Amino acid sequence: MSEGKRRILCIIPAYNEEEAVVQVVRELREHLPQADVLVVDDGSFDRTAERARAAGALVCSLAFNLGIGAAVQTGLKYAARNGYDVAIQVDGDGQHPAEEIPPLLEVLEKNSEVDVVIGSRFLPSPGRPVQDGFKSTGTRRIGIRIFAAAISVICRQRLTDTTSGFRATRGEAIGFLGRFYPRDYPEVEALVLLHQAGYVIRETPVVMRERQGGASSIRLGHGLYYMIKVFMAVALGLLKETKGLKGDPTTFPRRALD
Amino acid sequence: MGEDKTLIIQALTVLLGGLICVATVELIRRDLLRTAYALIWLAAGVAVALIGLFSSGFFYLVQKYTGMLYQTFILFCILSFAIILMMQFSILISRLSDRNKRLTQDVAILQEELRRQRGLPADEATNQIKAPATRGPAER
Repeated sequence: MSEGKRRILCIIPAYNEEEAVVQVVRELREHLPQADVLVVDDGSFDRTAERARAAGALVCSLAFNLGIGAAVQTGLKYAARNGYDVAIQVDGDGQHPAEEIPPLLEVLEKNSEVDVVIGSRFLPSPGRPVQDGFKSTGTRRIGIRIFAAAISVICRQRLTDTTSGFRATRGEAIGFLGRFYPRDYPEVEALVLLHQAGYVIRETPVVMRERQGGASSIRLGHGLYYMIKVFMAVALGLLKETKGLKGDPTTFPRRALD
Repeated sequence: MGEDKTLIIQALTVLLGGLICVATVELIRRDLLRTAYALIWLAAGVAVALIGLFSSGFFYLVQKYTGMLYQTFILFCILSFAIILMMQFSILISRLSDRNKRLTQDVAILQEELRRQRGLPADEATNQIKAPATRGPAER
């Protein structure tokens, strides 16, 4: 891990969104030429895999659709196996602009204790009005706020954007998430898991765009149901055995199901 | 209920219990059922047979201590059994789907690593292993 030569992997989960993914890959390669780009094709029916590869990305093609959680986890496993120093999750629908990645990396650079940086739409940033950028629709924002309040209490730190999938993880935490990344409601659950394992989470302001194509994994009209499910998952997750979670993954057998 | 009818019901119950046991053993013998999951069925078969054999005394005791009439009691038994079985299935499905997920992820990762190692352009390294890239419902 020599200075200035950190190996960075951008992980893009994608399901049937070839147009948007190609855009995202191109943008990343342009703005972040030092990083490798990995598209995890989550069993798409369209030409997501070929087109991503043609655009210069590494591609892991899952044989069938496993869902966003498992797709991101595939990327994290790939990063851990191949010794990347930093893994960045970027949505395949163009919500996360490549030029917002350097601020994420900067947080890691300046704070050696931080393991995971989350790009938050709701943190005010110096020199940029908060109103800038896409912040999701009205009812969703209420949900996001409720999550933020609840997760902040659980994690004992203020978190504003718990459903943000724009994250950079480094070092040991990559392997940890690769092993335990939650499957069903990954963004929120992963935070709680990281906190329980003792990893340090930090938020930093980012500006997001409206998605360019595809649909949210959180479907409209299912919002309330989704929230109840996530809360159940988080609450049940809190009951799990977590002693010695960090460093020794074998002491967390119920999730690993080995 | 006349004596003779009770006897027929008893005989049928014992027969059912026996059939469950025989079927279970046969399934294990043919390697269609794993021993671990057969235990619950063997236990059920034996239980049914025993209830059939000692029904009058058994139901008398049940009624004396729980107040349940035998119809109620049988319904209660069937429900408990079904719930235990479904729970076991849920556990199994969770485990299977988790293993399935991990295998799928590992295959995808290894394919990409293989492709990179061989230094082959788009798709050639895995075309022999992987189905055509344009997948559809037909493949399932």
